[in-house]
Amino acid sequence: MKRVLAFTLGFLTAIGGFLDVGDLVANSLVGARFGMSLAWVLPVGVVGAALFTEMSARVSAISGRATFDLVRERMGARAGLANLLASYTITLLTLAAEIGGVALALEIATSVHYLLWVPVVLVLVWIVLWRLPFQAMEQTYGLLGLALVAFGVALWQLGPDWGALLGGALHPAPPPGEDWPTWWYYAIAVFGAAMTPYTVLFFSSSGVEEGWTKKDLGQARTNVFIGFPLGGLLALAVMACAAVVFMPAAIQVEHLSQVALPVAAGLGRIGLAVVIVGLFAATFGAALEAALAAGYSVSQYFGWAWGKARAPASAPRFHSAVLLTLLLGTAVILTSLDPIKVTEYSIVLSAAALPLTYLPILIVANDRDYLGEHVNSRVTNALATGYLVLVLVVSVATLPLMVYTKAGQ
Amino acid sequence: MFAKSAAGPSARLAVGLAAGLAVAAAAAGCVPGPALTAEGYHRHVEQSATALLSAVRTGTLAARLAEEGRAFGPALDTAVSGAEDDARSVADTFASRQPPTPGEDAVRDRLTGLADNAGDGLGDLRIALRRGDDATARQAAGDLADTAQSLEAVLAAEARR
Repeated sequence: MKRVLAFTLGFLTAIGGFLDVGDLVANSLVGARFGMSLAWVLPVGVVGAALFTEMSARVSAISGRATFDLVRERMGARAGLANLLASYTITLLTLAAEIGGVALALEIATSVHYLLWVPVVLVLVWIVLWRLPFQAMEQTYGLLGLALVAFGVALWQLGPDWGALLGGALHPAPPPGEDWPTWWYYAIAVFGAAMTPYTVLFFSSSGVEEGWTKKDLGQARTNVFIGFPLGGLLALAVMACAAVVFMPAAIQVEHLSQVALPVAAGLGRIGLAVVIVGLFAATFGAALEAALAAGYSVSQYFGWAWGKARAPASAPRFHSAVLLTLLLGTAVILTSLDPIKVTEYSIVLSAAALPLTYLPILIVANDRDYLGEHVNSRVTNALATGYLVLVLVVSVATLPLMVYTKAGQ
Repeated sequence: MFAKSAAGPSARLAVGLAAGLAVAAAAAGCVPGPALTAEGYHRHVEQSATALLSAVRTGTLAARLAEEGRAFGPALDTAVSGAEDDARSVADTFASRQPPTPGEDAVRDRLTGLADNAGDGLGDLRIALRRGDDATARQAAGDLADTAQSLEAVLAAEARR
């Protein structure tokens, strides 16, 4: 059983990368508007996210310290501060979007307005963070998130033209009526959603929470190499469902409630109920992930005692940082800003700030003082350097594209 | 492979980046300004008709799922309410734009009417779904299908320009 559950941390982390509210809406929106022509971005994102997450897991397992704990030590306070500012701001926006996402999932189930659910969600998230042991939290939401497999089953039931779907995926170009800048803007959105910094922060710090050592490297890699591709596959199913149901009807995805409709079309009420559980679990899991990641980043930068496993009395500033971030995220959503718009901007801004997160990881993962013989291999460095170049290009192109396309309008 | 050095300007870079991101996000989020040319106005017509068609088709999909018993009330109610809000928002924004020349008055009148039909049809569908009134829901779905057809005609005419 332990082996079966070994991937849950990886899958919970992958939810943040591929199935949080931003990913669900972005992938469904992209499928509805561009068909499968942007499907190639998902494997690119899976490989990139898995590559850098494995690196930071290795750093945690070998050094016993989280990656961002070492970033400040290795790169100095100023570079660490740049890293902290970028990742904290994006994580806060993401957390706000996830809190809104959980509230929207509850609205779909009850038709009670999501703003009324927001305070309830805040309390639920805080209770889980406060009371539920780390492993129980990771397994509960990692496993419940698997309910999103319903998208894959629904796609099968919808009986699509598989050849057309594959043909669309193999011909990466904007469909008629769409232009290249907008197509690239959404490619960046899907890529930015997959590579969000908080997932790496969460995973590397979780390794320390779970006391990983050199012996646990195998399990850490299992988590990454099973959890991430599984998350990527489900994201692909979300995109394909939208391409099959929404694209022919010229429906543009603007709301989380629309994302679930193809599952209802394919599987009926039971499938819809399962997918709503999945939406709740995925957004709730991502909210836990983002709240903890915010606390980890601040505490690790300032050198405070940190850890969910630690009692609040022994890590008061960490727990205060998590609570304060939760309150800030909730306040952002209670201003009635559209959670979907918040998440759309957060994933695109995340793409612009990616180098600030991924360059330090690569530097630390090459430092023999920390990793000894476990530093990156030449192949890993070559691949990671290629990704860094990609991430730099993306970060330079994001803002001009955002302005030129009026945020993809 | 990588030199050990503290990146001095990084913090300033981060602050600059954050400010740039905020300005860009604000600029990108702004609704396009008033149409100064016929070309710009027609682009706005096309965007509005596309958004309305999406909202209307979300309604017809929800109506079909309700009729076939494939989804439960709250999920459909939420989807239709979202579509209705979108349609009314598009209608308000479109109505606030002044056509640059009298030559665009006809398309303005036509799309304004269709936007009203879309909002009203989606409102009727939402009420019928909440009441479990199948006959009215079917009627609303039929009206929405007609509106969708007219919106497609507007889009086809714009594409021919």
